[in-house]
Order: sequence, then structure tokens, then C-alpha cells
Amino acid sequence: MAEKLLARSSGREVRAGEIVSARADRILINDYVGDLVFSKLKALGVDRLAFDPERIMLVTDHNLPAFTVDAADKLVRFRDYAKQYGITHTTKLGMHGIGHQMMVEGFVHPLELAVGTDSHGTMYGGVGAFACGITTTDAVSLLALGEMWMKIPETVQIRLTRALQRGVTAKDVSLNLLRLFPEETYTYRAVELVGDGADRLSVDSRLVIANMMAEGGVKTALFESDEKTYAACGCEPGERLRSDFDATFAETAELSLDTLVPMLSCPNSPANAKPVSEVAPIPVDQVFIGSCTNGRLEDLRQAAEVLKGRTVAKNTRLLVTPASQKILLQATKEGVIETLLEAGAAILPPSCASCAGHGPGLIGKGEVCVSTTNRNFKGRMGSSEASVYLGSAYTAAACAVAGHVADPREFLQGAVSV
Amino acid sequence: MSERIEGKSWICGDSVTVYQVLAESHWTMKQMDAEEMSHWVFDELELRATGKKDGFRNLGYDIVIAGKCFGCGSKSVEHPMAALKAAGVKLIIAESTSRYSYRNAINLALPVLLCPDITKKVHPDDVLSVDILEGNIKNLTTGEEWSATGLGPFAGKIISAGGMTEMIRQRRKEYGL
Repeated sequence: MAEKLLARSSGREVRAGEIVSARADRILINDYVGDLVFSKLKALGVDRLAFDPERIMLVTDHNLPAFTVDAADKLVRFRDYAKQYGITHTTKLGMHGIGHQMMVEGFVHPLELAVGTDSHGTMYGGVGAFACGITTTDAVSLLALGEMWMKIPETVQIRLTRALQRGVTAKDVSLNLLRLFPEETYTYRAVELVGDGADRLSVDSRLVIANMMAEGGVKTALFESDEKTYAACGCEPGERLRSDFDATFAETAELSLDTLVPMLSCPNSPANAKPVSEVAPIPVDQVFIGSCTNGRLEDLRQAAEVLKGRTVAKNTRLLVTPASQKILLQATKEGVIETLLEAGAAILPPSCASCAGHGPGLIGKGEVCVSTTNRNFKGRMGSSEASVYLGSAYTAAACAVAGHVADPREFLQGAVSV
Repeated sequence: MSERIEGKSWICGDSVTVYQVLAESHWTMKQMDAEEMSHWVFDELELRATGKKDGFRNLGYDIVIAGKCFGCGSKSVEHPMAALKAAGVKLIIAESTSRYSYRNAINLALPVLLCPDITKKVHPDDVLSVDILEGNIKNLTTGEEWSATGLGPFAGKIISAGGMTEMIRQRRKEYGL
């Protein structure tokens, strides 16, 4: 699938290992590196972009709403960049969200080449796009030339079969995929996820896996596009992306989803994952539910399912950060937010929040956080002397109620016995 | 730019992250300041760097020999590779690299060659002479020779142009932009 999509973007047939000049359909530029991109454009004397400004998403999501004067100044600069280059898809507080989420709320379409100046740009593979993160200079190349160089990756095919059991989610699939295969399986490769298990997953769930595969070092992670994809993207069903039965793969693997259980990645690596039931019930100071990985409606609903009629433990705080205003509004209409508030959750406005250590919700020395985010490197969410455990929204919510690491299946009605 | 690079080797193991190449606290995010960042390269790795300003830089190494997944940590920022280059590193030879670190190094005109088991072949401080386009490696200290995957024509062009930014400048002229 990866080769097919890159052939479309480079206008010719391609093979793994080749380097091509590719034209991207969509690009995300975020506030983390935006200043660097635009200062390079200025240094090159680029007054007019060689890339359609309507296909650029220019976002501020790491420092929002501005809580330092530096962050406020950055918003002013971003407004100037947008004005100078005629970019209209920009952050407007109140209509905003995490950049990666904004990309999949109708902006990126299946079969497109969509890139972002952030490593979790792999996420748009969840809607059947060839999606990858790019570097600052790659973004400059696209904006100044209309093209960037790309090495055609080898492909690893992972067949997901059967269905997930209750209380087990796409996050648990992701953590298993990271745990089961060595880094060499993924590094610089395209990973395509196919099979009846992949077909059964919701688009929200596919986005989780495509996002988390960045932690394996993949170039891209791709799902086939189907009716669900087109409905989620808000576009008319078009050509479907399908894996070729005679395609060549560097490696193939199969994962039966019904064998999986809730997982937690222990400090300090996402691949350091274990079944929750094998992690000691250590006390938890903070639970964070949000991020581009797990801040969508499906995640908030999972959290509410666990928290309905329960309260957050006395010595634990729960922070919930929906990934976009659209999600926050829908969750409010459904009563999900009410359930979370009644349980004692603090709801933050959509942003990256403390996920990358730049926003609200940081953790202090010696604290333990169970988080639905994507990385638990040392110091990632605050103090370098704090510990971060990664899991699903079900698991995070269960830990919030218990006040310690807990298996979410104990809190779900109709759950299988554990 | 010469096709042959000669220099003293510094060896690091598998899975060295970008954070170990340069700690995030030293990334200059408003403007790339490679010179400033170069003082702190490998400060976090604590292999042979001293943990003090210019700890690595003062050791005078030219070639980094790395194990698997060099520059991992899945971070797209250019700062660690820019700092490495500014600290005097002229070439990286790795068993494999992360995608971002490969792209960033090439874009910044810091050549990267891939060679299986290179960390087992080269000893600390060996002086190598390397043809970066063809991938031929001569160990001037021991007399051994090995083949690596060379840069190939495309990456070779970026390196000769002095980096991707320079290449963009040239291409804008060619394209009439």
C-alpha cells in the first residue's frame, strides 16, 4: 500500500529503497518548530509559497491558551506567518484542537500524502493516508519547492484477526505491537495493518494505533480505507486503499486480538509494556486522559463508562483533556463530560497539555502518573524524578477510581471474569 | 565537498537516542544555534564525554561509529544532528539509524553510511578513511577494509550542495521560483 500511495505522489512507479521527489497533499506545521520553518523560508527569500496555502494546517497546540508571555508572542508571530502567506487553516481558540486531530477532522482524505512537522504525523494513516512526520527542512522544501525527497520504505504487514475483548482497546493493541517486535522490525519501514480485526476497529481506534506506531520508529503506519473511513473524513466514498495480495513484504506477522489483555507501559519506554495485572498496585498521584493518541470521543466514553457513579480516589487527581473542541462539544452533548465532572475530573481545554512537558498538568518529583499519552521517557511529563505509565482510557480511569494501578475489567459491567 | 573523509573514530552502542546526542534542555527552539548546542553533545550519554561543557567536542573526534537505531527517540527536530556537526563530527557510520536522524543528518550535509556490525569492527580512536559515495572504509590504524552502503547519488547531491537548504535555493532558481 505504501508504494502505491507514494507512486501517486511522485507520478511514477516506485520500488522500496528508491529516493523520489514527492508532492504532499496536506501539511501540518505546529508551534513546536513553526518558528524554525518560517525563519528558514525568510532566509531563503521565499515571499510566495510553492505549496497551496489552503492545504496547510498551521496550529498552535503545545502552548494553548498562552500562559507565558513567550507563548503569547508566539501566537502573534503565527498570526503574522498566516497573514503573510495566505494560510487560512489556523488555530482559533474555541474552534481549535491538537494539530494531529485537526488533520483528521475532515482535512486529510484517504489516499493522500499527508505530513506533519511532528513525529506523531503517522496518525493520519488511520484514515488511509500515507502519513509521516517530517523535519523542519522537509517542511521548508515542501513550502519553497512544492516537493520533498522521500526514500521508498520496505513494508511490514501485520494481520490483525478476530475481535478485542471487553475492556481491551486499540491502545493495548499498540503496546503489544511495540512489545512483541524489536525496533528493527519497524525502523524506517511502512507498517500496514490489515485483516478482519483491523476492519472491525473504529476509525478512532485505528488512529490510536497509527499514532502509537511512531514509537516503533516507523516511517508510516497504514490502514485500508473503508466506509467508516470516508464517513469519519466527511467525504464521499472514493477509491479504496487495499493491500495487494501479491505485494512483497520485508516481514509479515499476525496478532489475534481476542488474546489481548489491558496493558501498561512501565517507565521509561512505551515498549516496556506488561499486562496491567502483572504490574504492582502502586499508588497513583495523577491520571491524565487526553492527547493526540487517546483524547477522542471513544476514549472519553471509555473513561465515563468506568467513572459512572464512582469518584476519583482521595489521593489521586484526574485530568481530562479532549483532543479538540469538536470532541469536547460532542462529549458534553452526550453527558460524558457531566459524568466525568461528577466523578471529580478536572477538564482542561483541548491542547497537548502536559503530554510533551510543555503545558498544564505536569508532575512533580517522586510522583506517579498513569497517562493515555504516547511517551513515558524520563522527564517527558514533568520532573525527571517522576514516573509515567501508559495505558488506555479504560485503564487510566480505573486507576483514578482505585487510586492505584488497577485492571479496568474489574470496573466494567458485563466484563469477563479476570 | 570531498568524497573522502578521514578522521578519528568515536564509538557508541545501540539505540542511542536523540536526547542522548543532545539533551532537550539545550535545544534552541526559537532559532537554530548549532554552535551554542555543540558544547553539550553527548553530555547525557556519559560514555567518554566528561559531562562538562565541550566534554565531547574537546576530544576531537571526526567520525561517530554507532550501533543499531542511532538517533532514535522518534523526534523530528534537527537540533541534535546540527549540534553533532558543529561539534566537529564529519561522518556517521551506523549499523542502522532512525528515520528522522538519517533525514536530518543528510539535510544538514552530515553524511551517514550504513554498515552492519561496524561497532564490532572499529576500535576506539581508530583512524578511518572513507569514500562516502561508494561506501569504502579503510581503517588506517589496522589496515582493514570494509564496504558500507554509500550515500548514493541523491543524498550525495545534497551533501555536495552543502545541505538541503542550499539545494532548495539552487532548485528554486532552476524552477524559476
